Formats: sequence, structure tokens, C-alpha cells
Amino acid sequence: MFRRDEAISELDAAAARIDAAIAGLTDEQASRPSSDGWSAKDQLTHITFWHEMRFFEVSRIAHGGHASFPLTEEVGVEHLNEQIAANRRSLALEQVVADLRFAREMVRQGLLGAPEDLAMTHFAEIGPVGSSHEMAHADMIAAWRQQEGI
Amino acid sequence: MRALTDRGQLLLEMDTARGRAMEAIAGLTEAQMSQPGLDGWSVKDVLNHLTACDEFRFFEIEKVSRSGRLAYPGLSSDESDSLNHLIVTKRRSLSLSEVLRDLDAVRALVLEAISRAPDSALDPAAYVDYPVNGSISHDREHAAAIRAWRKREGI
Repeated sequence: MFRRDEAISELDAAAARIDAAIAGLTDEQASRPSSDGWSAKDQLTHITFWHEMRFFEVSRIAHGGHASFPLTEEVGVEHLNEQIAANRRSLALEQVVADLRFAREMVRQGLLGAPEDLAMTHFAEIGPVGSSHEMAHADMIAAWRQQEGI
Repeated sequence: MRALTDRGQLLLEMDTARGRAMEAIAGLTEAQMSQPGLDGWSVKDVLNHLTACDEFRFFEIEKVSRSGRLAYPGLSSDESDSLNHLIVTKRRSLSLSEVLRDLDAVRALVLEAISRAPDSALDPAAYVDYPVNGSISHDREHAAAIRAWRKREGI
């Protein structure tokens, strides 16, 4: 069962984890690709993109609609992720962080407009909150910083 | 494309162009709207595509309104085609009523974003290839394609 207050608390916790993971990074440091090819900035723009999509998904489902991102083949989504990261690679860290905060806030507003009894299963691929997604990327950034000593 | 500096004019032209698109689909049944007669896309696919473009447009307007830069500067046609294909395919299972509700709901958000945007965020030049007024020609283009398809099909 979807619990709106818990979902929002999770979103706040994820935001704090991201803020801690990127604290003190310069734009140059945040732009360095890690061993998997993505920089910290790429990871942030990736989270932002999915929050942007999630906001519309939450709004759609809160009004009785269905997931517009049903679970399908992963190849297309992987390609999309790479494309979005490449498109946003030139953005400054300051904007990347501001965009993430704005998109996350839109998701929060969407959740506040959703009924309490919304079934999690309605969300399929995108998921209603994205907090675990944010935390996973925050942990990747933190691990990369530890490895690099920055 | 001429520069629009007047917010009211922009909103009016967007409304008119969207009205043309809605006129182009008037009277079609859901079955007819699901026929892939538009270069492999159906009318429903086109409507989902218009919604997705507005979803991207909403966040682009917000970025520019905060003095930021675009998330999608100069997408190549291959990238754009790939993105369009993925999103349209994902949304193919939505019912017509959902498709139409999404179209209206997201357009309302875009209009609201334009209404509260600073004047600097209404300059099409700030948007490179994804101008704030881009939906006007885009809606007209798809409306014309739908009308031509209906004429060919006699529906």
C-alpha cells in the first residue's frame, strides 16, 4: 500500500543522501567520468530526468490513469539513459543541482496531490517516489569519491 | 519562425494551433485513431507524442525561467526519432480517454509555466532548437498530416 507521508519522508532522506554525496565537489570534479563512464554530474542529470518523467507519471496515475512507462525491454531504456546523460553533460553543476531539486519538488507536489491508497503496482517501471534510485546513485558517487580520495 | 515577444499572443497562437489539431481528430472513433496510417503512427500515437513534447517543454521552460540552459540542446534527428519512438511505443497501451486527458493536463501545465515565466524566458532564441513557441508549428504540422490521412482514407 502506498503511504504518502512515508514516500515523502523517503524522498527527503534520498535528497539528504545526494546532498551529502556531492558536498564540496567542484564542477570539474563532478564532471570527471568514473570507471563506468559516467561522472557525478551524469548521475545527477540521470536522476533528474527520471524525476521529471515521474512527476507526470504520478500525476497521471493519481488521476486514475495507467503507467505510461510499463515494464518493457531494457535496451531502449538503457539507450535513453545514455542519450539523456549526453544531452545534459554540458550543464554547469550549479544548474544540475537546481534542476534536480526542482524536479524532485515537482514529484513531491505530485505525491501530495495523490490519494493515500494509491497502489504501488500501478507505477510499473518508473516507480512512485524514486528515493531508492536516488540513494543508489548517491552511494555510487560516495564510493567513487572514496576511491578517488576527493 | 518569427520572434514572439508578447505573452498573450504566444498563448493565443498556441491555443489556436492546438484547436486545429483537435479539429483534425474530431469525429474519429478510438479504432480509427488506433490505425497506424501516419508513417507507422496512429492518431493516438501522434497525440501521445504531442503530450510528451509538452512534458519536455514544461521542464525546459522552467529551466530557462531559472536562468538555466536547456536539457536538450540541438538533438540530432536520429536522437529525436529514437526518443519519440521509445515514448510513443511505451504509451501505446493507454486508452483514448487517458491520452486525451494527458494531452489537456500537460498542456495546462505548459500554459501555466508560460504565464509565470519572466519575459526573458519567452524569447525563442533562448531555446535553440526547442523553442518555447515550437508547439505552434508542431501542432499545425501534425494536424495537417492527420487531415491528409483522413482525406486519403475517406474518414
